[in-house]
Amino acid sequence: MVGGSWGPFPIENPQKLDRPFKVTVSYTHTCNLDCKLCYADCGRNPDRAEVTGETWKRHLSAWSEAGIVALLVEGGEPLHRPDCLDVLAHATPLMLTRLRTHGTLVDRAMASRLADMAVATVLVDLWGATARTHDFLVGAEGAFTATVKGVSELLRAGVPTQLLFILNRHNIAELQAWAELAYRLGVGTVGVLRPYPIGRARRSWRDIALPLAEMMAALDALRLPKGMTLMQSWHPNDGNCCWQMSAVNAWGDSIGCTYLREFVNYGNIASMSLQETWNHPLCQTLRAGSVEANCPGCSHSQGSHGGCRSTAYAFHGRWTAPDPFDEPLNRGVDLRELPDWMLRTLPRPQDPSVA
Amino acid sequence: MSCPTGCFERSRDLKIRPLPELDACLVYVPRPPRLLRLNMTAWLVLELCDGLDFDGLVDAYREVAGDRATAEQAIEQVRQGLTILSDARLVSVPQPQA
Repeated sequence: MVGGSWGPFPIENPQKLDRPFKVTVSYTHTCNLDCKLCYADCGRNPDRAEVTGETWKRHLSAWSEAGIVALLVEGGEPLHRPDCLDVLAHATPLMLTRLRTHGTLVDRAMASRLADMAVATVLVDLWGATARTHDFLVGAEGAFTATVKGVSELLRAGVPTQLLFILNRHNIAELQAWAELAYRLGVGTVGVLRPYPIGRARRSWRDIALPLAEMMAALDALRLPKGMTLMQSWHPNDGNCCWQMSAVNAWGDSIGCTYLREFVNYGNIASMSLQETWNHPLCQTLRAGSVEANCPGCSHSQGSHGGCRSTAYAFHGRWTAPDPFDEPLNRGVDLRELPDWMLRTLPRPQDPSVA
Repeated sequence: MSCPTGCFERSRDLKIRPLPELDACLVYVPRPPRLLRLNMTAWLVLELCDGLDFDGLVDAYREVAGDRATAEQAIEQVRQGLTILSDARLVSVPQPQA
């Protein structure tokens, strides 16, 4: 399908901010699973170079003073680091705190503690309706059972809990059954996410990727159980979120968004403030949201243009490019085929759109 | 809000993040955790809810609004703002002392 509005270039983001109000922290690059879709390329062993819990607390306090009011903690698996709960407890009085986890480490005591500290939402990755599919994707037998148990404990403790599903070739046939499983568990909101070609997912892209039409057909065919809410970032909900995003990885590098983690580095917060990294020229460029094309439907629903910058850059090598995950902007891009430069570690193309 | 002689107080644990670029502000309420977006009117009324009664709020509101609101409009806008804020439990009205 060809469509969208092309030019006049550039189309600018209508919304601008001088300071970030939310931040994502990729708390650790360690995990107890071996996911084929891991964006952080996690290992098992603790990395002494990761930012310590006490240092994160100081950053959180400073960010709160600077006006940050929302936090997403993800990983790796954040709960794989024992100090994560203390950091979450420090965060919750300061900012709306959400946690993304695969849930296998959540037992009754941990769920109770998360409820007591008033974590706003726990987002749990569950990538199949069956143990066979989920365990295959996360590389660990028994993970499905452990995740479902973790979800049950969270809901039992009264923690608002949502399920996430990264759509790929191995689980697409289970999407409907997965939504029904979520409903049976008592989950009211689910998210179906696109796969991003970063980390291990980039290296296993040919094995996991799907044509856009197949993904859209699966989403169209999905019939949500009554009362359930769906979050999805394909057309007509493909936003260009960079204008409001900030993110820091486990080593303190400011990376704009965790989906940009392999493409940008605005500086390390050990030596500069988050605001200073936000003022990095590339960050300003991405926040301005200049794009070559927009999709009227997505622009209307999201208030931004051009769709996700991570997948736009991954497939086109330009920050201004249209997002090929958006049907009207796809223009014949086969999402199963990454550009050659993405299949190598380096070098990346010189983006002519950035001075 | 139902007590006309009470003084309006904003909840003490709120985190208010102005977003003047978007003509709004965000308010984080820790328990139960919520993040709310307020328009300029509600934001201004929230900032003024620091021990003033209704008449005091209207006076303070008019001082800031200047020519942009008549006396009648100011009363109505403060009333609407307080409705939003009290519905969201961002302000409380302590009972007047006997």
